[in-house]
Amino acid sequence: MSQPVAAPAHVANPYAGVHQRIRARRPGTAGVLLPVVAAVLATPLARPVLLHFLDGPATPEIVAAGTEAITFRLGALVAAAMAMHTYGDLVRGPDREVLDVHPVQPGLLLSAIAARTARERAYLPVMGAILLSPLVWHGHALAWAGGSAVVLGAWLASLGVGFSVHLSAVWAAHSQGLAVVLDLLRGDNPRMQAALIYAPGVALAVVGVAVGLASGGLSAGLQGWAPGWAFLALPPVLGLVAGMAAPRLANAWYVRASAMLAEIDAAWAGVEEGDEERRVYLEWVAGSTRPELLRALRQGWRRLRSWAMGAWGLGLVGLFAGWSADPSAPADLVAVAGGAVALLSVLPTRLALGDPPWLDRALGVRAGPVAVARASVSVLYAQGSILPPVAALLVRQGLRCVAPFLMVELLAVILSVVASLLAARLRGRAAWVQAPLAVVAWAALASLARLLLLSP
Amino acid sequence: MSSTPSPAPAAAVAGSDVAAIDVAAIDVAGLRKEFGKVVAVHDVSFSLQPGQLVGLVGPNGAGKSTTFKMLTGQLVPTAGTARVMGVDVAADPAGARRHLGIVPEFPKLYEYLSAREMITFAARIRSDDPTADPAKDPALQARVDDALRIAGLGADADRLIHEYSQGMHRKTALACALVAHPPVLLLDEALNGLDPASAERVLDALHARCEAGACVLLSTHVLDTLGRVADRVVVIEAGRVSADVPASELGRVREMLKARSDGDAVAPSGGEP
Repeated sequence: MSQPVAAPAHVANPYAGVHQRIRARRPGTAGVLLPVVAAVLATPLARPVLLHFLDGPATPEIVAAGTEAITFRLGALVAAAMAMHTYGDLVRGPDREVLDVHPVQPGLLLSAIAARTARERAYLPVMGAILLSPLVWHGHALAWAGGSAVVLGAWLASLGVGFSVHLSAVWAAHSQGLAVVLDLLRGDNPRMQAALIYAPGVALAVVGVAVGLASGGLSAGLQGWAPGWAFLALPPVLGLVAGMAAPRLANAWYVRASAMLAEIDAAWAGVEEGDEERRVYLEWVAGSTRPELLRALRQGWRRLRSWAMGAWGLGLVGLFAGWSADPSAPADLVAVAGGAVALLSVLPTRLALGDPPWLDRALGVRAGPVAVARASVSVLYAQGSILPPVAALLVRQGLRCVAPFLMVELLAVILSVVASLLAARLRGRAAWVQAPLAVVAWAALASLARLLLLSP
Repeated sequence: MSSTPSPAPAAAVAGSDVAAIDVAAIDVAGLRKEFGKVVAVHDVSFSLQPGQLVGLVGPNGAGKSTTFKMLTGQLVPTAGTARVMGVDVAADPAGARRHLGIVPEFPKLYEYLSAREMITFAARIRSDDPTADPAKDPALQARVDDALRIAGLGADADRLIHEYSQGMHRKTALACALVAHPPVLLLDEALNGLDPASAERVLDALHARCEAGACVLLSTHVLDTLGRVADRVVVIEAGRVSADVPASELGRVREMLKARSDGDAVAPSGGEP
């Protein structure tokens, strides 16, 4: 039996007090250290990809345009990640299932959740600043400071906008006026889910506009137009304004979201009792002789469907990189599709969370085939991100697509196997090791691809 | 009924001077819930007055938990209304929850708190000033100690919940529901997995709360439990109320449910129905 736990000092916000105690006691959260180490290792490898404009003559115009482009992309990436994190923490977060039976003070709860999200995702702007640090080595410290400020602004804006948009999505889901619009957008999803599905995209779009203006202002400032620097304040101000609206939205909609989520889950359960059971994505690959793969595919489709759909979404983005006659397109394809593959390679660690170890022990399931099955599902899902850009490059440049295709497939296999092995040993903590490894591996491959595929 | 009430003081039923309020503690009227083509609850109506302890019984899949979830605001009715202390749960779920102490069928707790911390937290967020230091509130501490005593968690109160058995999880959830002395308690299979001594202590406490004016709706499969403490029994079968009778007629309810179960049994040798 363990020792009684010590009582920490009083925290005025009761929800923040709970989060503080959980943070101090729960194993498996590595904080910012691993992502920062990964960024440090990835920076020299990724520099030729992210900051290639430093290789040529660095006129103020070239540095300004290059800095604008990379800060906008990094800012958009941070905004996309935060849009998903704010959704996960607020809408489907661990607090909701506990607090569903208690009366809550949504304003206090929201501020505690926001503080936890900020603390746990603080590594994102730090990683951005580290990835931009070669600007300093090349004598462009002001560009680095401005770029880092844009990325930090994107992160701050996403905190405020993300929570407000997700809470507004609950209102939208209940709105009779928006029912027609949601019915047009929802596809096979329940109407209420449509509002939640598109909320991260809305958050990204709103923050993206502010980040675009800020990075444009940065470029103008670097070229001597002093008012341009003022545009750097746009994202944080946006975040502040949206953040001020969030407590009122939480009071109105936080509790109601629980019933809405229950309705959505019940709607899917109803579907899955019917023919959905026979329509699992890629189930034909498993056949009837590989039960571990069948289980992983079914778990993936029913619990982690957004990963399968997200892979094709990333593939659509990659398609634009592949649809080019430019000689740099094969290397760009490796950078873009490889980035998507690195992101998706965390999937085996998510799959492992859905397989309780006690159940595997009780069923006598062997660890080896389970690990192979999880890695296989990860590689299969990754095809959604690989095949569209490769097909586009095949059309535009013929067999020049073969080398990048093989490179990205190799990355997918290696990262999926590593993730699967880590998941077998570390389970919930595996993602904290896998994600930084994937970032470094992607940066190395993208750099290597530029070296090999752009050489005369 | 028990003759050994818990020491919970009647005056501590905060904001729940229910005898003075001219509304039913729970009022369910024409409640219906559809999941796609499946109708889980058809047309359920019943009412509980302050001071009553009512059992909700029925076979698995009868619609008890769905009814509970509509009473707690975790599901929205397709038709009909559920009111708690006069508050329409679907229209104002947050307002309704302020009157409710709830133990769901599968309780979820903060696993890295101790039971004492979890129960103190539950008491704190129901207090007038949730930001106040609970260590400086002797009344709150007394209620937490009392809830721990009723649940039988005293010796384990300072261990982390993730080290607990299922039964201890349920005890902690029960203590969280009891600690703020809400006027209405909704307990879904709340006595499952409790050792006999703890179940007795909880039943005594529920009885005492009812005598102080609170109302308890207790869903259970253990009919003997209800015979000792309940005023009435509401039977739900196939999503409908098939009986709403005094607890004295529990024997008839038991025979009715057994007859239905035997009639529904598929395996002639007594296998799973």
